[in-house]
Amino acid sequence: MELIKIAWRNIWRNKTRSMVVILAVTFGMLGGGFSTAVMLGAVDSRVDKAINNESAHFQIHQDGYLENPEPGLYMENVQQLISQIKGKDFVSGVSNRLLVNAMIQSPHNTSGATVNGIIPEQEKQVSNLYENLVVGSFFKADKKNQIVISKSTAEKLKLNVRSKMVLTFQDKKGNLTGGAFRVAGIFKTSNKAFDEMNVFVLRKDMESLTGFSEHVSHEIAVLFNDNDDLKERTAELFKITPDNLDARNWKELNPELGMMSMMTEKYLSYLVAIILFALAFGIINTMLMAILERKQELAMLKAIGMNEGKIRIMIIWETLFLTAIGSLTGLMLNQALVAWLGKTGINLAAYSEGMESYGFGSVIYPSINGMFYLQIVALVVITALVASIFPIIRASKMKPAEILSSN
Amino acid sequence: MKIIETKNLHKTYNSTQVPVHAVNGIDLSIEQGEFTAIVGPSGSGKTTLLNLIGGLDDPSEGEVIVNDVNIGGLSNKEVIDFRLKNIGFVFQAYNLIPVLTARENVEFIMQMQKRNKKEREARAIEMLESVGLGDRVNSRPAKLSGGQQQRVAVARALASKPKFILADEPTANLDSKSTENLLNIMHELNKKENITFIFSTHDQRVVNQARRIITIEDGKVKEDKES
Repeated sequence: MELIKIAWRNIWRNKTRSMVVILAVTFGMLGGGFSTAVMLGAVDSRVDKAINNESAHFQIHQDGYLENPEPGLYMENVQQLISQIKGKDFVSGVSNRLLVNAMIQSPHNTSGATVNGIIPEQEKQVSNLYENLVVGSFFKADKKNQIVISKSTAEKLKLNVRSKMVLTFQDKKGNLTGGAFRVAGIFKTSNKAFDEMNVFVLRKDMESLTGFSEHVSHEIAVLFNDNDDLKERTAELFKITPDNLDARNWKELNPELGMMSMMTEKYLSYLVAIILFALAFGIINTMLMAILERKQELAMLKAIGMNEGKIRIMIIWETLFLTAIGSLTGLMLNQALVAWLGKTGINLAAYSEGMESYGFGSVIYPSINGMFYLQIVALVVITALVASIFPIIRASKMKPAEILSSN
Repeated sequence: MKIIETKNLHKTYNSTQVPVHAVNGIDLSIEQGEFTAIVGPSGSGKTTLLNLIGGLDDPSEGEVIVNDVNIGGLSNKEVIDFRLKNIGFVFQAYNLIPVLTARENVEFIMQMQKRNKKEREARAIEMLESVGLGDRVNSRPAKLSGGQQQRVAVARALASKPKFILADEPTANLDSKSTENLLNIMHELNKKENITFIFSTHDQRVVNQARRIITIEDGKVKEDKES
């Protein structure tokens, strides 16, 4: 205890020098922590949007459909499976979709897209798409052949709400069929590629045009209550999925997204480790100066009977205090900044087009999790230990007889 | 009772082209309760002799026997522990820990000896009172005069209940009044508690108080007399 007290008081002997290194660590941690929060916020937001607007947490298809999305690769008698999935307490919604690839024609232009035949009430439980409407409505109950398209498709085909367009696609038997649809609503998400590739129609309209019954499905999309326990929940849904079906969670459906999430976390850990490593040189320099200034005192301590182990512990505590004070201050400032910007967001509207082409929103909400702080604590301790090695070596080389006699 | 004995003690420094024989064959014997001054000109080997007796330096040749233990035969760890339990040091530059109060400085050595807190506190205050600093126990060294700091150093040396105290030029940085005060305190402790003091000094006032005076010259004992 006495050693800790001495170590604590020692670091305040030269307040200016200690404050310089503490401030360096503080701003290093603030920089590392804030970069981490911004990147994690951007990635979390991308993942969140991918789940809530695009893929949901979990999807089931007929085996081979994802590799070759033919209309004939559909699942039959899916009602029982859907009921079983809905019975899971972690499931918040299930959407039973019919999908066909179609050619979209307007009087002005032509485009290709996947037509999602949906039941709006079901879809609202698994997707926030209806919240992303910029104009119009997400289907009206009493009207047939309505379509919801993205803003980019609308611009490309020069369409507006109530404009007419024609969809051409294959029916259940592979014959070419189609129909005229009227635009009910126009949406815009932060993922330009998704927007350009998807249009939404009522499932019953699609059933009548393609000949598929209400008991078949191309895609069952499942949304969970939250993003936790993905592995366990996926495993549970695997158990009730028949072997001839292909079930995947969002990480498997969007491997690039899963990899980005994982790589970002790894990259950020390395970033903070590198910052601390660089700061360690400053800490070493400060500690070496402190040790050299106190060599007379350290020699005296050795002379009166303080063993090497205790001198080492004292130096480690001093290094730890310097590192920990700076780190804690930096992380507290970071937490305050993240809490503030986490509410207001960082508006990058000037770069929205570029960001949307990668699926990122133009407003980033920095976020950071408890695991990051735990990692930092571990890194701070390691840094302090590493930074104390040279001062310890220097102190252990001191010979009391030489130092005390030279005075 | 003999507590220190040196036999054919040599210390040679080879750091320059010409070897320096700082201690050149000293045979000494010091009894419990002595108040001994080691005197001699600068470079005569006084401090080296004290360092060898205190186990701070290894002899090139010969033996230092303290309380029947040849400290040259101890490992580095053992000799540190030996110093902690047997020897009190007082240095010319006081060498107190500036971030600790007078009481904490005195307590610190007892903490290294793993004594309990109650005993440490009581003895620290007792020692500081014995050197006339009962009213400055909570002062840090920077708030004390040179003489007061040296008295704290004496209290620290005494606190560990050593077999003897080695004091290297303890009055070199003190004014006359502080020197007299310090010498009186050490003399009293020597008389009343039979504590052995061994000084290296240039200071005639210290020499005048010593009961035995060992004069060193060129690393050898030139004169050894009782006063």
